[in-house]
Amino acid sequence: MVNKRNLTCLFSHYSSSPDISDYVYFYLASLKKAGFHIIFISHSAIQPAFKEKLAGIVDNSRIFIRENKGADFGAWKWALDNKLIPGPTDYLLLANDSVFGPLHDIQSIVTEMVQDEETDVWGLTDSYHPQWHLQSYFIILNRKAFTSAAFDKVFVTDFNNLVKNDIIKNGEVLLSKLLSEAGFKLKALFPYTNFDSSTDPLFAKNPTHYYWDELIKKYHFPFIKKELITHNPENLENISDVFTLIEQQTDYPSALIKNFLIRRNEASVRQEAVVRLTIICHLYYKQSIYYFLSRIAVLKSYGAKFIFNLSNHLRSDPNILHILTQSFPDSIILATPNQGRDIGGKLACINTMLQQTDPSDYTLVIHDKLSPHTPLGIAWRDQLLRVIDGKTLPLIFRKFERENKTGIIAVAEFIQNEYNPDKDNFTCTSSAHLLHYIKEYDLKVDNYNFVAGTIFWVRTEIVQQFFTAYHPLKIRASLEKGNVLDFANGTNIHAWERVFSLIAAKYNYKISGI
Amino acid sequence: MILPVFCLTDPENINTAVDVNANESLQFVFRFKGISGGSLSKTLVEKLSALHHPFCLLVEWNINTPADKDGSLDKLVNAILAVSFHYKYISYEADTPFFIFDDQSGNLTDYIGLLESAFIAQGFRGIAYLIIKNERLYVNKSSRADWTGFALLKLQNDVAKTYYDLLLSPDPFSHFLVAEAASLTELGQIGNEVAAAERDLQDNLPQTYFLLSKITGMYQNQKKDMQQLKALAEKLESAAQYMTLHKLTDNEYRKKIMGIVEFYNYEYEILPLWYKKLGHLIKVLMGKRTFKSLFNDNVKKYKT
Repeated sequence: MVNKRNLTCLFSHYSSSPDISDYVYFYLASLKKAGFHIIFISHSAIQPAFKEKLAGIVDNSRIFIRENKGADFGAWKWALDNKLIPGPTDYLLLANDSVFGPLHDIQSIVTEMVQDEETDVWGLTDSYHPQWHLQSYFIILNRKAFTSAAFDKVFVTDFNNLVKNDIIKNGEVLLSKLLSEAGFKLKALFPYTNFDSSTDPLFAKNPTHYYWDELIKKYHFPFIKKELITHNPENLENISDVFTLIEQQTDYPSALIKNFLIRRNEASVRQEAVVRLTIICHLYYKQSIYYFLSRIAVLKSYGAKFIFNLSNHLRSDPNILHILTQSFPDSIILATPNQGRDIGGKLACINTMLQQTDPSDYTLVIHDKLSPHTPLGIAWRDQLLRVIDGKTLPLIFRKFERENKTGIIAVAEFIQNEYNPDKDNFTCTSSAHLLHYIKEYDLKVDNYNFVAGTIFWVRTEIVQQFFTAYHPLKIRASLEKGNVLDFANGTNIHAWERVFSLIAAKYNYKISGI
Repeated sequence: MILPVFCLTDPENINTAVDVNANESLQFVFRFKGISGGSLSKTLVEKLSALHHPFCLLVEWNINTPADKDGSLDKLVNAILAVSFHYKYISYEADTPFFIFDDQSGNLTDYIGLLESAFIAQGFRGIAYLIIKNERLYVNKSSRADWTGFALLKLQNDVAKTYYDLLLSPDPFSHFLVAEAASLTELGQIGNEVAAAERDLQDNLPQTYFLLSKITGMYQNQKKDMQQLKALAEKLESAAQYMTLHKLTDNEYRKKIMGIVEFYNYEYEILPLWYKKLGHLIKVLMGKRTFKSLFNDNVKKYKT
């Protein structure tokens, strides 16, 4: 209780597994310490052991489980409809588990908010996109505000049947709009204008993403958005410093975040071992590594053998190594200089794969593609990664089984052909390099289809056959150093992006799309 | 540990190497017989791949024939390359893998250039190495130019005293330590004696211990800083590469975005509402939009 005011928190929770992560307990304990009476609404089942631990922080009678619909606004509406807010509540906090933290004690923040009698509704941050509103992960409303008609009008909406963008529009944005129009005073403790004087909705940014480090360093901001670390949707490079910043400048135990990242990479359900898989994976981009690892972790449920190649600059990051080795404890991890880009990394992995005594049926050739030189980079990556979608994988393996002439399977949109039969060359800057390789490796084939982006499944026997004849490290030695691009001039690397697919055709296999 | 300790052992011990003093300041050195012993076997490379502890190779160089007629030299070089790709392979500044060579045939230096070229071809800066001959440090091409010798630690000799005396010598940092043991258990025991010697130093001469520890810390920080510098240099080079592209395309993308915004404003937004609503109705009739969405914002709008 802050200065004898009654504080209630409606806390919305979701987990893909029936547990509660330690970072959530930490957050709840901090809320309790700050004086909040917590009503915990979960969109996922909770195993008894976790519920027991939760009961140490939240009153057992205040733990609710409901169907997974409507996200946080759905949970809050459900709590309101079921009249769960205690009668004497003076201030209502709407909160959820979309943040890690608090990085510092939040008592002083809460005190500041509830002692300001001129402000009716507080948020921590605000946003101008698509129009001004308080961001809803942490909103405190005084009694006048949360018992108002304007507040009720927002929660008339049936959020259960809305998609995410509509929940934002009809919940998060509308809440601020209607309360403002009703004459309530709304304020952000860390306003957007601290960081950007331009509030044009078209160019306004999410401050908890773009200014996450400034918020923490300069303003002692108590949270970091979970999505920023797990997904980094805007591909912000500086997120790779997150653990260093947290450990140096806050009191928060960063192990809570690391453990969460490791746990979410655990295999959910073990598949029947019908196929033996090898995953050859090159990693380069620090800022997207945690997201990428969570995507390929799905293959653990197939008992896949992982061979990772780290670009050298990653090997000195203890946080990345910790999460990688803990998430994939049986994997082989290499680290090589940036030669040949992802192709060079994959060749190093293939060299190691050839040393393994137990060959697999199929090999996934993959890397953490980002293409930062184009705004389409993330979209391309997400499309290419369809080859590892949980629902697509069984289709891929069945396709291999049924179509014995299929040597490579990739996303259909990325199967391309640049061959110009009239000139017997290729419509790419690396044509000369490619022609050289075709001659060197005797790759004169009927079909010059290749997988742009070099992410695909291949029959392991093809890889073994070719790279036993042509040593992968010799090939790697011929590739260029650094992040060379082929926009102006061709390169061996980009020629090899095509050659990688052509080796299947050399052994009379074809490329199939999904 | 104040002075670096290389724990020399045979590759057969690899499987349980991590059981011995998981302290990462103890670095393993796996003895391998080059050329005369054949190439690194598949099993050995696979075993090394499973390791998660810093290690390097001590190659007993015993090549008898100068000409590599059967390609075994090539195979050896490739196998050494493959092993050095391991993320825990000791590498100074991340791009210079470290080796210890025991030159038993006396002609190793003829082949060092060959090995270095192979590493440079793979993107490394070269290799860092020490050459030992007749149990003495013969050549030092490591990042620790101050090394002039090494002390051999064996359980049958007094490990703690040897180490303690070395720490009190005029220039302890001119030496590194090699702990030779018949088994991993013995290596563990050596590690314990080394730790005990340091505790004694801390008790007897705390100021000396403090200063020595501080210097060790500074060497480690220097190594980390050099690695960071390298990573930053690479990042800078990468950014410069992308910049050349962005200089060409930045204006192009911005123009395209503003073009789309202008098109929207001048070709659609300015149209009268009744005209737009007629358009919505046409979309419904064409099956591209749901009828209910004409009256309700909270339902599915577009048909996929």
